[in-house]
Amino acid sequence: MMNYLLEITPYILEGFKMTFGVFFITLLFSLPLGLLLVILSKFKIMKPIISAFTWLMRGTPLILQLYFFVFALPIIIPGFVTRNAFIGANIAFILNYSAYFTEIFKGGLLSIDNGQWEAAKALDLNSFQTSYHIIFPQMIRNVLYPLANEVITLVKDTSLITVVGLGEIFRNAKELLLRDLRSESLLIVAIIYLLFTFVVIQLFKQFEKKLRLTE
Amino acid sequence: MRIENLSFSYGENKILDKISFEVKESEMLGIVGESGAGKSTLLRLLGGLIPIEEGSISEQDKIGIIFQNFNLFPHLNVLDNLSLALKVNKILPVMEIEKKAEKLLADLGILDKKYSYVDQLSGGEKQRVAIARALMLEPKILLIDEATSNLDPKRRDEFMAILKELKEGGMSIVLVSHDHEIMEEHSDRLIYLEKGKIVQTLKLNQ
Repeated sequence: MMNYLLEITPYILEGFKMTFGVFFITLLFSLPLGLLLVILSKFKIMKPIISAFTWLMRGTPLILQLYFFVFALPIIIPGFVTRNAFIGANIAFILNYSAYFTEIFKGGLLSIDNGQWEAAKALDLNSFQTSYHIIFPQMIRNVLYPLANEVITLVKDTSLITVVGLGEIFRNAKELLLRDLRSESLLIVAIIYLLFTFVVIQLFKQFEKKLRLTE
Repeated sequence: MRIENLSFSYGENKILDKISFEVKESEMLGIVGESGAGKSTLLRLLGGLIPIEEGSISEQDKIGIIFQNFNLFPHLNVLDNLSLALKVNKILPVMEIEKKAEKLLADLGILDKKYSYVDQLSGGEKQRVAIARALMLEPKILLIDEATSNLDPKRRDEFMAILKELKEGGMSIVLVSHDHEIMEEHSDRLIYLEKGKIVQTLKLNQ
């Protein structure tokens, strides 16, 4: 058994590059994009467009969006970049997660009392200074818990890219399961996800400390 | 500061209707009215928080505001609450801004709280921080919204004593409240506001 574990673990871990790649690229682009959308939704013309976008992305399954960007779009638009499944998968993830992050940021802004704006104005701060020094830091504090939840979900959602043929850890584990008809590979992949989410949780705890959320 | 024919509507609703009065130097002016009389709209107009629609306010003087629930910045400590605006607008060198903040905190007896955050302060302490923050910009006029509603009688007297001292130093204080009794006790002059109109002005004994 021990030998078997030692044999399969490196193979499963080979997929981690892919898992982490999608995770990292998604966060790298969807967090700023979510923030940008929340700022843009302050403009009247943009509001319905952004609402429609978040409804579409949150209202349809991520797996459907993956199929669309990886398989359907290259058919509709021949030569579309998503002939490369990795790029297509990342586009789907980035758009999907930026929709969720937009809604989280929106919630974080709504919970800030209007009195903060008034107090800043009374102290001669302009609206840019107020956003940057008063509103934004408080919004970040407000969204930290829901954000941590969403990022943990992202860790696990990366397993979905297996359906578009990308070799991440879950797909590798599944292959071993079917090849050897032994279930240990599922245990290994579960442990990898647990360790990954553990690191994510620890990172958020550090942020919390930094932002003085816990006494 | 002279206020002339100030009117303000919210949709069809006339909140303020041709209000005129004057804030004199070094006086404690009370504005009393029931809720819905237009007090907080008037205060926001005086403080420049909302734009004037009709009428005029002569505004040569710097105005500080203390809000009903203080509106302190919860993500900053006391010292930063006081210093932020001056630092951001680079009004003084950083060292001098902090010295100034510390002196104000010392004068108000809360220097030991300078590294505390808002949620670690008592109601009375928060109010002192709010006063100190408003004073950082050296206003000539201090507007105070429902100042005493959050305080017990002892704290209220302490607070009024601080205001009296500021007034004697030459500052004009405008107190807005629904509480007739307290306002009658402490104001030099009292304006009664009803449905957006001044119904009475009283000069009180000092």
